[in-house]
Amino acid sequence: MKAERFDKTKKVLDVQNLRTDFVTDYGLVKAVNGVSYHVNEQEIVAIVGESGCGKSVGLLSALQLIPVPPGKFVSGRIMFEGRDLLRLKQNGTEMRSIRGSKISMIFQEPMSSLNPGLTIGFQMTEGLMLHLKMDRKKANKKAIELLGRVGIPDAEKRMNDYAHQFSGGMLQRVMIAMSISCNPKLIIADEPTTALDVTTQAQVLELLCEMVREFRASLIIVTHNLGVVARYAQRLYVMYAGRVVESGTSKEIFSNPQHPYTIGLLGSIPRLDDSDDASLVPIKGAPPNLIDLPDSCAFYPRCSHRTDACDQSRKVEMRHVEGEHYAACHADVQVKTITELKKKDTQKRPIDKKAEPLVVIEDLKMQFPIRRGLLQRVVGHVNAIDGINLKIYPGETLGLVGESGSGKTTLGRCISRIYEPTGGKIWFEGQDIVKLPEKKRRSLTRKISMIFQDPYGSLDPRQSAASIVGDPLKIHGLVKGGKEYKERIEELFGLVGLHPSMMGRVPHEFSGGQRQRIGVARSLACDSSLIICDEPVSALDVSIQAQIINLFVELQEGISGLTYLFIAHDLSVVKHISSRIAVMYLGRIVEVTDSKTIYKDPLHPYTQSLLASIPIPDPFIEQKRDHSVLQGEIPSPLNPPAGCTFHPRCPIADQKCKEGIPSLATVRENHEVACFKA
Amino acid sequence: MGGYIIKRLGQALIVVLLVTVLVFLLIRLLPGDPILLYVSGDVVSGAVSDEVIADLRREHGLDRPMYIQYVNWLWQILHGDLGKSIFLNDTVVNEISRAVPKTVMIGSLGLLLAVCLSIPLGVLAAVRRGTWIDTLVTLLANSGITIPVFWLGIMLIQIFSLQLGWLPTQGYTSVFDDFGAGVKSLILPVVCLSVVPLCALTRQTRSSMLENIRMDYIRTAWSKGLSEGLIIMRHALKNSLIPVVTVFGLMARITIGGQILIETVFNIPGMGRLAVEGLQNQDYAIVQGVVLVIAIIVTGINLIVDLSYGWLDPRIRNN
Ligand SMILES: Nc1ncnc2c1ncn2[C@@H]1O[C@H](COP(=O)(O)OP(=O)(O)O)[C@@H](O)[C@H]1O
Ligand code: SF4
Ligand code: SF4
Ligand SMILES: [Mg+2]
Repeated sequence: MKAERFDKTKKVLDVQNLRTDFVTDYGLVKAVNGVSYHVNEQEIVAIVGESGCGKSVGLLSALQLIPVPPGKFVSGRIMFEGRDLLRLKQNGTEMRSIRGSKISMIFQEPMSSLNPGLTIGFQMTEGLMLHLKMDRKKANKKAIELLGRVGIPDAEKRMNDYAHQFSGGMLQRVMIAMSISCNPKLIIADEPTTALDVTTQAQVLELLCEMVREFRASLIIVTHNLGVVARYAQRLYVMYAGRVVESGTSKEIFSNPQHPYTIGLLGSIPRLDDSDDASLVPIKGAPPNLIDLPDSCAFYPRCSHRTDACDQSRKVEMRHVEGEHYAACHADVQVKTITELKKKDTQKRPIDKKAEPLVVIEDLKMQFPIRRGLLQRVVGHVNAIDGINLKIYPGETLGLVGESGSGKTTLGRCISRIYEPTGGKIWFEGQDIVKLPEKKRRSLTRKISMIFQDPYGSLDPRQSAASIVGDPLKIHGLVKGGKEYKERIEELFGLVGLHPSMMGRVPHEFSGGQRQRIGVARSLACDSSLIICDEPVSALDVSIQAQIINLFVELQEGISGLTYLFIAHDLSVVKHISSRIAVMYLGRIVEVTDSKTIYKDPLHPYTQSLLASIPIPDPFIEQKRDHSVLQGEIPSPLNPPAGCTFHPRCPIADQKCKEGIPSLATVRENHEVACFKA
Repeated sequence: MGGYIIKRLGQALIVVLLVTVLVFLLIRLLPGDPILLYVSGDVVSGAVSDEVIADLRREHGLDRPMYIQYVNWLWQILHGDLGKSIFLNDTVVNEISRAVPKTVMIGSLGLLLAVCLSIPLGVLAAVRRGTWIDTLVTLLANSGITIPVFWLGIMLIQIFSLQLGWLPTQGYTSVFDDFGAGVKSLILPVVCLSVVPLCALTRQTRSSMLENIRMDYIRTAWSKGLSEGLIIMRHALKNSLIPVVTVFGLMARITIGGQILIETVFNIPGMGRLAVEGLQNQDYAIVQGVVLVIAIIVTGINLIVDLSYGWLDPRIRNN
């Protein structure tokens, strides 16, 4: 097909000086406070920033999709096809004729963004019938064609299914099909892959960009993943506290970040290609709430570059840096490169590999019964953990990665004995804690504690922080007398970076990051030698995430023998913090080696695919990387494939893989792989 | 779906049986004896002998052990016979078939009226949240639910029957016999009965609409360019109805109790009245028959409620 001629500099959407407020009980929230952004024809533009900085409101305002009240479009212009969309009546015919037809949207949580009570087919055809005036028959035909195009198998049959019958990745494909269905000029995707697994995330993003190219649309993508920006976006806006603080082409901003917030974001994120001695440079503090913000630089309280010139009363204007690059900062910040910035003076403590392992897991199995019917009869078993052998050495951090449903959480819970394993052994300090009777086990398993993704759910909402942290001291009799108790709690608070004045507060009075610190303090109170961290930073914003990761690292440096089993789906985080990494797939370990080797020389095809699906926050590197993505989804452990369970998705599988099960074998020193071809 | 219905019907049958056993026992454990009650006037005058009493007992099968009485009763039911009333001189089946149409007519019209008004009102209040319409609807619904049915009935009769003379004060005329008079005799009892369910359903519709309008999928619907009407009717309403159906089931059961009051106030010879009289006289067969019919109606309503969950929520349907 001959490419239509288009003007790369012609603006499709041009938002100027937009202000959107919310009137709340607590005060006026200036969610979007004088923001300008535009997107050119067939361009992919990204908007980044931590949660609550106004990204979504800025985009929803473009289509007047903010409920009024409490929202209010205060000022600004939204130019689209020669008209100012802000002047149209909010839900009038003209505004509605643009929504979903010329500008369409994709949202974050695909499951909740689709109507649970209507079929996918119905929701697909709604737009077609409304905007393209198709009749039901034609719309159905077109919808089936589109669903097939975005990779929904059996599209015709699945038209009659409901959202809950699809996986998250599949639903996001449906959303993409829906958004593209009326040939829009612009698609706005608001964190389209945040809720998805890394591999699915890569699949969905590749598909989205492919569709945007094919339909010659433009794309605005909101994300907090700078890697995604580097991989896909040509231009970038960084938002903070309701304002754009830096904008420019991705290459300009990544190679020469000017705003201290952008620098802070780049310093906060671990990268797959970070050197071994890299450490994170988090932004201190937390993002502000947007009530009663001053006109001066909102980043001032957290900024490490602030000078006298950043006088509180001065309004910050966008300053031209070069080309299309602008930054809203008074100072002319000359920073070292991010790599230099992240360089650490101290080296990681070398792991003594000859030491006796702290934990030895032998042929561990965990079966869950599946119950059906009125009488809850057991009709089968899920092998959530299917024969795992693993050693954890004292003082190391063992990372555990794999797609969700691969059994990581289950393994963590077996080790901490929340679950009763159905087979195998777990040796901890010379005793098999699977067999040990409850009473004897208690004093041992005290030394194994867990930290969860959602700190709020795991803390008693009525208990004060001090007693949450102090309870284990009392229960296990680790302190003598009230004075020692108090001193120990203060010490623990200090260790995890909480101010002692916060001891009387209850969990909801803390932020997410602070709650995670309380969880860590509680684990330390037990004198744990092994802390199992299950996705401990996944729910946190990047700057906070970096603070907590650094806390983990510092504690390990300070407390001899402190060992982590670190479970996360974000391989860059795991690689940053871990000394060794185990990769899991469908209840088995498929590869174990040290974290440097995992990145440099992965041997299992699954590990290779996981790595390829993780974008590196550097557009120059991403340009050269192969973006082929792992196909398909992780099968249900109820009914795993025969032979090597990875074979249906493996690009190099052959007949042998369908028949035999590869066992985890040492291929090289400190490198074990379960693959026939490794 | 078919299998599910059969399973539910089986469960319902068991529940109905248990209820009948319970009633059978309870009414016999109450102090007093229906036969003695029946002949009490004559006993005082000396007109009945012990033999007559024994004969009466035998005639109504009350001389046999209780479990035999129960099995006999069940056996009769299978032959479409619910026994004979001790006092009313007619079969229970005849008594009930005279009473049921009145009760069912008033009950279902009352509930229908409540549903037809409450859903639009609740939706309207939710969509126009914070406006005077919402304030008014919420106020009315909150106060209406506290009005005692008995008092309301008397007030309505005062105003519309006695003072304005538009409607009959009491009694029941079948619409099939005399349509005009039938409708007139229905208006007050039906309105009276519908007030509580109307208010409860309005409140529930409003709050569950408010909850659903905030959902992500409604934002998606807006982003597609649909009109407000379509978004409300097509997207928000169906999901909002799930808790409304729960309240409907509850209200339907409460309504059955409310009928006793209504039939007393308006002097309508329906099931409620039959039950009350039967209990006062300890007329075993009548009470058993009435309870059986009510148990069947209630389980029927529960079944309909459960099936509509499945219709409204595909997640339930697939399990
Ligand atoms: N309590 C349970 N009952 C039944 N199946 C379970 C249970 N817990 C986990 N599973 C199954 O075990 C598999 C692994 O789950 P999980 O440990 O949560 O993996 P991950 O942590 O990688 O997400 C999943 O497919 C899940 O369905
Ligand atoms: S204006 Fe000053 S305080 Fe604000 S970001 Fe720049 S250097 Fe920091
Ligand atoms: S054993 Fe075969 S299917 Fe499995 S990972 Fe290796 S090559 Fe792929
Ligand atoms: Mg998990």
